[in-house]
Amino acid sequence: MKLRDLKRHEVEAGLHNGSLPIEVGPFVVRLKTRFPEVIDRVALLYADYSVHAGEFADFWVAVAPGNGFRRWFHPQARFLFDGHEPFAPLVRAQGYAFFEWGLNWCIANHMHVWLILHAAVLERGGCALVMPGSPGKGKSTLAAALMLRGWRLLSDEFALLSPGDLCLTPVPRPVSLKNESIEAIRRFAPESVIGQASYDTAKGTVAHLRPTPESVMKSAQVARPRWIVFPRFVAGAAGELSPRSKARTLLEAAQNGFNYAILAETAFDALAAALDDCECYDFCYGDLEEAVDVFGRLAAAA
Amino acid sequence: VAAIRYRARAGLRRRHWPGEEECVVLHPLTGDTHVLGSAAAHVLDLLATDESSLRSIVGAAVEDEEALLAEMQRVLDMLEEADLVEPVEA
Repeated sequence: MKLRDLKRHEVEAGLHNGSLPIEVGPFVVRLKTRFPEVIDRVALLYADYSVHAGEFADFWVAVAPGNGFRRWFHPQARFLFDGHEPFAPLVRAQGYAFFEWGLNWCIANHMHVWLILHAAVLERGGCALVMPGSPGKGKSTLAAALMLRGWRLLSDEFALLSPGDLCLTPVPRPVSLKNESIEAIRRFAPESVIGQASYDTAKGTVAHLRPTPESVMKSAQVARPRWIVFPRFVAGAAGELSPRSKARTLLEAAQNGFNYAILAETAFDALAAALDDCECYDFCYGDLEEAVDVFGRLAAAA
Repeated sequence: VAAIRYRARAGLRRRHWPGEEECVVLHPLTGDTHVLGSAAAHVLDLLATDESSLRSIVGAAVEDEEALLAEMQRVLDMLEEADLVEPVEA
C-alpha cells in the first residue's frame, strides 16, 4: 500500500501517533508530528512511497512543538530521534525542512554498513552517475533536472556504496532545492511537484521536489557507479565535461565522505575499486537543458 | 642531512591507475589520504622495500647531483610531514 492510497484522516492519524512506517529506500521511517503543515508536505511529497507492513522501523523521529511558551510565542519546532534532541530548535515554519535535515543526520551517522558520500546519484541504462560536492555547487538542481528528464534518482544527498559488491543502494527522497533553484526547476519542468517553501533557513529559502514515481518504485534496484562527476554551476557557462584524474577524484570523494574516516581502509579500498570502472569528470554548466543533453550523450555512449 | 636514513610507514595503502602520474596513499593510523606526484611515489616505493638515505636514493651517477639532492630532500620533507615516512635511528 502506498501513502497516496490512504485517506487524509488516516495519514493524519498515523503521523499524529507515529504509527505510519514509511519505506524510504532500504530504511523504514516512523515520523510523529501534529503540525498540519508538515503532514501536508509528507502527504504530498511521499505519496508514492510504500507503507511498511511490520512494526519495525530504522528511525523513530518526531517533529514536535517547542517547550513552554515556545509552543505559541515565536513557535518552534524540535527534531527528536529516539526521544533524543540532537539539534537546537528551529522556527516552526521550518518544521518540514527540519524533518528532512534530521533524517539526513540519522542516515549519515548510523548506517556505516555503507560508505556514505555527500553526493547526488542517478541512474540510466543500469549505469550510475555519482555527483559528489559541497552545498552550493548546483548538484541538487542538476540532479532534479536529470530526474525530470527520465534519469532514475537514487538520491540527491547520499551515495550509499556497498564495500562488498561496489553497488549503490538507492535512498530516493524529496530533492532539496534552494533559493534560485526553486524557480529554475519550476521553469524547467512546470509539471513538477514542489512543496511549500521554508524561508530564512540556514540555507536560505528551501523547497522540496517530489521524486518521480519510477525513482521510488525502483528503490530496491541497486546500480554500479559508472561516472563520477563534480558539477559546478556558473551562470552563462557552456556545459563542458573535463576529464580528471582518478587519484584526485578519490581524494575529493573521500573529503565528501560522511564516514570515510570511520571505515578507513575499507572505505579507501571500496572507493579505489569503484573508480577502476568509472570515468571521472569536472562539469561546468550554466543551462539545465544543455546539461541534460551532455549527460544524455554520455549515457548513450556507454 | 643526506646521510639520514628513512623508511616508509608500515601498512600504507596505495593505488595507482594506468596512464596517471599521481597516485593516492592512505595512512591507516592517521586516516589521512594523500595524492602523491610521481617523484614522491617513486621515493615512497624505494622506502617501502628498504630503508635508505637521501644519498643512496639519488645515487652517484647523476649530473647536477646537488640540484637533485635538494629536490629529493624537499620530497622527503613533504613525505615526513605527511607522516608517510620516518627517519630511522642510526
